[in-house]
Amino acid sequence: MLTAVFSVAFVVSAALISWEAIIHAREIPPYLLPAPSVIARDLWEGGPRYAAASAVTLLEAISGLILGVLVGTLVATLITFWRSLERGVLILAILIKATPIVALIPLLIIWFGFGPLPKIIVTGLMTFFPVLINMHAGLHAVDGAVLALFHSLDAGRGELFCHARWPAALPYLFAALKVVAPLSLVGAVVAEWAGASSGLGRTMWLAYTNLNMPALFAAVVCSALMGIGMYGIVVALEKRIIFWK
Amino acid sequence: MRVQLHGVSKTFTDTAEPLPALATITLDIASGEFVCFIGPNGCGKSTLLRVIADQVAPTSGAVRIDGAPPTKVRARKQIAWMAQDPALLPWKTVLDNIRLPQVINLRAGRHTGRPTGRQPGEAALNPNDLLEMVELAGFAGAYPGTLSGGMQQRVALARTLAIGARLWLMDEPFSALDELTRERLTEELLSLWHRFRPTVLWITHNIAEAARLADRIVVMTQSPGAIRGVVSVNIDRPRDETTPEMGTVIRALREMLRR
Repeated sequence: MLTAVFSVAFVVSAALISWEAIIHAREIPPYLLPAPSVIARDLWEGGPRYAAASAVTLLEAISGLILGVLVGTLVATLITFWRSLERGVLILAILIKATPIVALIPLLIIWFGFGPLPKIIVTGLMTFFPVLINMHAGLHAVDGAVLALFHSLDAGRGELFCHARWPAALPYLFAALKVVAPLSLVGAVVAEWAGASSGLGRTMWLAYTNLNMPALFAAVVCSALMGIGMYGIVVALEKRIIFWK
Repeated sequence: MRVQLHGVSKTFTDTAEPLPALATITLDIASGEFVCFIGPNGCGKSTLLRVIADQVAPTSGAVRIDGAPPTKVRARKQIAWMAQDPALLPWKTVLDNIRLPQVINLRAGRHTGRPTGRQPGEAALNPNDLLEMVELAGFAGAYPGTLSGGMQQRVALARTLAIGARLWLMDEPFSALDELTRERLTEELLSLWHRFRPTVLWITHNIAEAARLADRIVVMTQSPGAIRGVVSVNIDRPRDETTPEMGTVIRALREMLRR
């Protein structure tokens, strides 16, 4: 644990120090690339503003994440019980996945306005596919010996699901969550870029149009920190819930 | 339970070419009998057991268990199935794994008006007693992942007993274990068989094991699987492999398998 902390601290500070050094040595202007110290000062001074914007984005991301995880899990469960739906549903899911969702954002904004709803929908669309695919694999990861056992007990499909399929799928669900938890922030931020009244995406867009690079980077830092936090929460939950691995 | 096989055959047709796994097999196994099936890999002994367990349907012929088709007997939870893989659920404690047969398919209990496949008047098998029977009394709350292979197979054995079935179908249940553990577990199983007197169909490819356990040994041949011969062993248990009588049985089996 301690060595891990040291190695992270070492790598991060080495990167920041070289970044700072290069800016000063080459005299790169802040509107092209601000130094870490400049970004840090901007973050410090605009603290409450960034916190408020982060809260908006985080709420959208988590709402969208919950939506995507629920729908993905539900659909995976559904096609486990009704095998005839499996192919059709999976093809439809791939179709959604292959659609550049970013291109749909303006349409969603026209439909649902500048509020949080279009962001939640975009995040949901982006996160549901990895959850569906992983859960689908997980629900079918019960090995033959266990299936034979349940067969010998004349277990119903519901019983097989509760006692075997669902717990067997949980590690797969967490593998998906590790990917989609940080991804949900990307979804929310990108959706905000296209039009929002608040949030980190709006902060970034404003900073970009004003060529205020320190503010742009400060917003990126906020988003990255939240992503690390969400990932950490998923890992901690996984350790508690998947205790048998 | 009496198991009768009337001209049972199986040809797998879901393969590229039809694969004959079992030629016509006819066999009558008495209630409470311990029968071993022995033969080289691919002789269809596992397929035969799976047909009896209602896991695959025979291509022709019929299986009757106390006069009823396997599907019916299985629905009443009167068939206990055990294989090389202990098939424990790692997210359930040892005790909950053993309780599984009692939790699953409560219909079967309602169907007969008493819990699963037990003889009238016989006391219910308490999961804690079962744990004691397989010498795992202190491990009720442990998770399977923390147990050794031999202990896991003991848990599977206790779960098999918990079904309360009168027919035990065992597909090389201890063959993944080390020699010493296997011998001990086999002895334990034999004493459980003496106690409950189920019909046991036991697959092995170990000649000595078959001779030590069985009332009758069915020797099978390869592709398609067929019965080469049946050897009866009328020797009191526990059996000692070094006695001349046992030597005769083992030689007869070896002879039959070599042919």
